[in-house]
Amino acid sequence: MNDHMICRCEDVTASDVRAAIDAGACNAQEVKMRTRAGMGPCQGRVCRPAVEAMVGVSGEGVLQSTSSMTVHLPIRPVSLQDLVIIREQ
Amino acid sequence: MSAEETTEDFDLVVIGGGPAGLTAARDVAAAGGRVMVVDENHAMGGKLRGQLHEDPADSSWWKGWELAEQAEKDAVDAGAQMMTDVVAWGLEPGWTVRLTYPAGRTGGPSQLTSRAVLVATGAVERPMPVAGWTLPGAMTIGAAQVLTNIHRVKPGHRVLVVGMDVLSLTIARAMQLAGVDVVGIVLPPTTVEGSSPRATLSRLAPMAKLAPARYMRLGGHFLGWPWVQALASRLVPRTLRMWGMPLQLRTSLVVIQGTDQVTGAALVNVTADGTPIPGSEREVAVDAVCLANGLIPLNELLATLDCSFLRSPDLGGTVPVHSDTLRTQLDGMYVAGNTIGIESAKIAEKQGALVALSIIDDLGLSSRRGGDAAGAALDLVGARRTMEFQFDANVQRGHDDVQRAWEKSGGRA
Ligand SMILES: Cc1cc2nc3c(=O)[nH]c(=O)nc-3n(C[C@H](O)[C@H](O)[C@H](O)COP(=O)(O)OP(=O)(O)OC[C@H]3O[C@@H](n4cnc5c(N)ncnc54)[C@H](O)[C@@H]3O)c2cc1C
Repeated sequence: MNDHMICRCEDVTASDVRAAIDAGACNAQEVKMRTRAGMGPCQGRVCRPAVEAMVGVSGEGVLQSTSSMTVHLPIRPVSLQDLVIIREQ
Repeated sequence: MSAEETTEDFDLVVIGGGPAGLTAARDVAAAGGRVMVVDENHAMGGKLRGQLHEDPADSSWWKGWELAEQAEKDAVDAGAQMMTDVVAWGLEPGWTVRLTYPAGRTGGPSQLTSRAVLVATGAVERPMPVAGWTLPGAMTIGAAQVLTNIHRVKPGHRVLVVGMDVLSLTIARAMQLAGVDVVGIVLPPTTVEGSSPRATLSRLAPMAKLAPARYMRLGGHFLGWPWVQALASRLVPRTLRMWGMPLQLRTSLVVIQGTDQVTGAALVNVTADGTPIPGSEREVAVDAVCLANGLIPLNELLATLDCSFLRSPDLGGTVPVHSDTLRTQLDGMYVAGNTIGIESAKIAEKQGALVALSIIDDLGLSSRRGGDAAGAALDLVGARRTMEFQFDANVQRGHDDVQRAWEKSGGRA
């Protein structure tokens, strides 16, 4: 009854995330690999902290990125037209 | 700009037209720099546009939307260019800023090239996932702020606010002034970190002691409230009234109810340490629930580049390592505003003025306003001390940690 959505873009619920953690996922990136949480149009902008709240943040002090759940370009959905123009240059 | 023209040479591209970005744009443009500000919103001003507070010093109102319009006008008058409805989706060293137009193409360029880039992308809200949070009528507290203060639309008729911090209490008050029945302000579900009554009170109590004379009305109430004494006596009061709204310090949200739309919420009493008390479950009928779980610096653009970050709870999240003059480890890349720590709009504006001095200096422009970045950095520390409110009482400690990390890393890469 208490199951709820964690990643709205990819329809991943709290019990999906919990199952991934029980199966051995140790950080947000590993949860993403197993469940697709963070792989939708918003690229984890909304669910990244929610997944981290469940699995924990990894690393302390000075880090090489903001999160174990990697951030990739493009950080937002891009229209094909804008990509085509870059290609042409 | 014609549609074929896909690139433009600027001295500075500012990503994010909030108080930090607009202030920096104004000052760099005034010093003769070619400046472009891009923002994904349909209007400039960032989060400032939604803000409405009463200033205790003179009982005047802090009307964010008017301040935002003025800040945009000042930057444009100084010669800065502006583009709205455009998202910066990538940065490449050199610098190239890649753009896309989610609201439909308006003939703008797909990239901008610039000698310097200022990332002033602000903050986002931390989600509070709980059963029912995706129902229509459930929203973040920031969405309620935008509906109430910008669009002048009530988020609901009977509203429950979940989460107690400076922002949620301020917005609960704004909703009340707009005629919304705020039926209660309760704690987040017990599964949310730091949501126990004791943890909540210990976060709120230090804020009550900040510059009390200038605290924004709310502060007066904080100080007048019995909870500071309650904390000392280790007792947590069950309910306090804030402008007549019940602040239920011993009640947590369990689930949000409804099938097609929010119709209610299940609540439970908790002990001071946040353990649910069996038998105390009950329901409250509401048509909207506003979730407040704090703010996080937005740093996706820099996370794709080769620079390091510091995790700092005092600043609200993980922020790029930078100097106290707001230079990053990457040549020509600067940061200001909530992207480096959660603070009020007044501080963001000061950071904008400070980073402008660094940019002006590095680009070899000359400031008409005068002042040097090192001096402005010191002023900022002073300003924090006398600020009428803080999102986190330890924010300066967070900035000091970042400065140490910067010095240890040897500054620029
Ligand atoms: C929901 C919410 C409510 C707040 N309410 C208050 C309040 O009541 N009082 C208060 O003092 N402070 C409040 N704050 C804190 C607020 O962040 C500061 O007051 C201040 O607005 C920060 O200024 P800034 O310039 O750093 O960022 P912002 O004002 O957030 O501006 C950042 C801008 O960057 C744009 N942007 C981000 N990424 C991109 C991109 N990739 N491409 C293009 N544009 C982009 C955004 O659209 C936004 O307009 C609130 C913050 C939030 C998130």
